[in-house]
Amino acid sequence: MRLTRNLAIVFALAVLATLAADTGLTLTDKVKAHFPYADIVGFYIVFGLASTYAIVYGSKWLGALLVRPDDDDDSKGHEDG
Amino acid sequence: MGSFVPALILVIGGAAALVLPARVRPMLLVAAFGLTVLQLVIFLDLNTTWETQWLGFALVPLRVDALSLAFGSVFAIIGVLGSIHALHMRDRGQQAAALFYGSGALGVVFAGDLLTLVVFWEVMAVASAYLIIQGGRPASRAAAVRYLFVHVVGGAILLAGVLWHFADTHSLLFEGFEGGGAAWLILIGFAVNAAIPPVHAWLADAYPEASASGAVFLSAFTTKTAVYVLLRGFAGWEILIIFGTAMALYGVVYAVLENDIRRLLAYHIISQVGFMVTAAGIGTHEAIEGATAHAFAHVLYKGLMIMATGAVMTATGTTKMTELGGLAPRMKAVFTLYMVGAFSISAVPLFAGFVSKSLVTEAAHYGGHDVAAFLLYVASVGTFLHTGLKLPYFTWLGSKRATPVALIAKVPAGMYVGMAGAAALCIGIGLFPQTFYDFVNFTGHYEPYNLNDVIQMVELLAFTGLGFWLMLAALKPKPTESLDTDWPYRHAARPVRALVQEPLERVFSAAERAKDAVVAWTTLAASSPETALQRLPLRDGVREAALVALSRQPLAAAIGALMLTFGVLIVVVVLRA
Repeated sequence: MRLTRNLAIVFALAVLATLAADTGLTLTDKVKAHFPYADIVGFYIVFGLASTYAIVYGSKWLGALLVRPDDDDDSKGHEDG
Repeated sequence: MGSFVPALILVIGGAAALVLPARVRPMLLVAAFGLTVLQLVIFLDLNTTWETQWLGFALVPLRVDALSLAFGSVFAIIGVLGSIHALHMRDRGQQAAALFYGSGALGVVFAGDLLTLVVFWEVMAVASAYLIIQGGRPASRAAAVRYLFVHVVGGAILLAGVLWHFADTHSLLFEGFEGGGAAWLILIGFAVNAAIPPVHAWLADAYPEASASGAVFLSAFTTKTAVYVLLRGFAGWEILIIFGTAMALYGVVYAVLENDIRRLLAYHIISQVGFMVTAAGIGTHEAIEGATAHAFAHVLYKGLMIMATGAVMTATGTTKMTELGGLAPRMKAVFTLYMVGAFSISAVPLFAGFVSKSLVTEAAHYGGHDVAAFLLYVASVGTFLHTGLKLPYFTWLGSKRATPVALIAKVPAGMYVGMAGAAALCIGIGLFPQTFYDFVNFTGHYEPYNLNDVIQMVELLAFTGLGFWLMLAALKPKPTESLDTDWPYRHAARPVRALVQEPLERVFSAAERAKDAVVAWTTLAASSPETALQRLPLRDGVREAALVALSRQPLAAAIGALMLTFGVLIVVVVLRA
C-alpha cells in the first residue's frame, strides 16, 4: 500500500506542476497547438479527463453487447518446454 | 562484405536447431540472432542490392535502404533479447520455429521483389502458427488453427494480387503501388497481417495462447513486417488514415473490457500499429520516418511488456487480473521493468515512445489531418490508462486479497536479463533521441524535447491518471471474455466439422479398419493358410477348391495370396491418399 500511496503523491504533484507550467506557457504565448483549440489553457486537463471518461464508459456501454462470462480455465498452464 | 541475404543466418540456425542437442540450442538462438545483428549493423552497407534471374523472373532477394535496415535491425535485436529471455526453454520445436519465423521477417523486409516477399511471408505464417501450437496452453492448438486459417486466406489473397500485378506490369519489383485491382488485393493481404479491423481478431485470439517466450517473437515480427510493406507499397493511400485511427481506438476500447493481461497487451498492439498505419496513409517524409521510429520503439517496449507478463504467467500460472493483484512486493524487478515498457508505450518523456509517437502525431498535424491527430491523442490517453495504470494496478498494486496470489515457480534468470536489455534500450532511445534517429538513418531533423510538447504530454498523462483514480471502480476487471469479429469463423467450425471433417474421418476410419483386417489375415495366412481360407467370405465350392489347390500346390497358392494382399493394400493406400 505504501507504493500505491507514493505513486498517488507523484501523480498529484505532476498534476499540480503541469497545471502551473501550462498556465505559464499560455500567459507567455508560447503554446503550440497540435490541433484546433489545443492552445486554450487547461485544454489537456479537460482532454485527459474527458477522454478517460469517454473510453471507459463508451467501452462499458459497448461491452454490454461484446462480453460474456468467462467460464473457461485457459489461463492455467504455462509450458515452455 | 556481409552482402548476403540476412535471413540466411537464421535459416541455417533453424535447421541446426532441428538436429542439435538441447544443451546447445538456447545459445544457438542467441548466437544466430546476435550474428544477424552484427551483419546488419556493422557489415551490411546501405543501398546494397542483389539482383538475380530465376525461371525467367527478375528477382531482387536483397534490397538494403534506410527503411529496410531499420526494421531488419530491430527484428534482429529483439531476436537476441527474446532468445535470452527464452534461455530456460528446451522445446526444440519452439526454438526452431522462432529462428525460421525471424528469417521470414528479415526475408520480407529485405525483399526487393514480390515473389521473394510472398515466399518469406508464408514462412512467417507457418513458423508463427507452429510457435502458437507449441504454446502449451489448453487453447493453443485451436487458436493456432484459427490463426493459420486467417493467414492462409490472407496469403492466398496476397498471391492472387501479386500474380494479377505481374500480368498487368510484367514486373515483380516491389515498389509503391498506384492503384487498380491487383494493388487492392495486395493491400488486403498486407492488412490481414497488420491486423487492420475487421481482419484483426486473430491477433488477440492467438498471441496470448503462445508460451511466455514464444509471445515475444510473435509480438515483434508479423504486424511490424506488415507495417513495413504498407510504408513501402502504400504510402499516401489516405484510406489507411481512416483505418489506422480506427485501429488505434479499437484496441483501446477492447482493452477496457479485457481481463487477461496478455490479451490486453495484444489489443494494444492493434492500437499502436494503428498509429503506424495512419502514418503510412499520411505518406509524408516525416510520417514515414515517424512510423519507422515508432515501429522500432514499439518492437522493444512491447517486447519488454510481453516478457514481463510472461514472467507473471510463469510465476503465478495465471494471466487473469481477477486472479492477480498485490504482486509488487514479491516481483519488484519484474514490476519495475514492466513500468519502463509501460512508460515507453504511453509516451512519457525520457522514454522511447515519446520520441517516436510524437513524430507521428506531428506528421498528422502538419499534414493537415487534425481529426486524425485528435483521435490519436485520444488513443494515447487510452494507452496510458490501460497499460500504464489498469494493468499494473490490478496485477502488482493495490490488492486487498484475503489470499495472496501464490507464486508457483521461480522466474528464470534469463527472463530478467532479456527484460533488462529491452528496458535499457527503451530508456536509451528516450534519453538520446538524436543518436537513435542517426542509427535508423533519418534524414529529417526532429527535436522531440521542447518545453511545449513535454508539458502538454505530462499534463495529459497526469490528468489521465487522475481520471483513472476517479474511475477505479468502473475499471475493475471482471471474469468475462470479449466477442470480436472472429465470431463467424469460430462458430463456422461446427457445421464445417459436420459437413466435411466427419465424413472424411469416417472414410479414413474405414480404410484403417480394412488395412488392419488385411494385415491380420495375411499374418494368419502365413502361419495357418487353411484357417485363413476358412475365414474368407467365399462360397463353399470355391473355398473347398482353394483348400485342395493349397494342399497340392502350396507355393502357387502362397504367391496368389501374396498378390491378392498387395492388390488390396494398393487399393487402401490409393483411397487414403
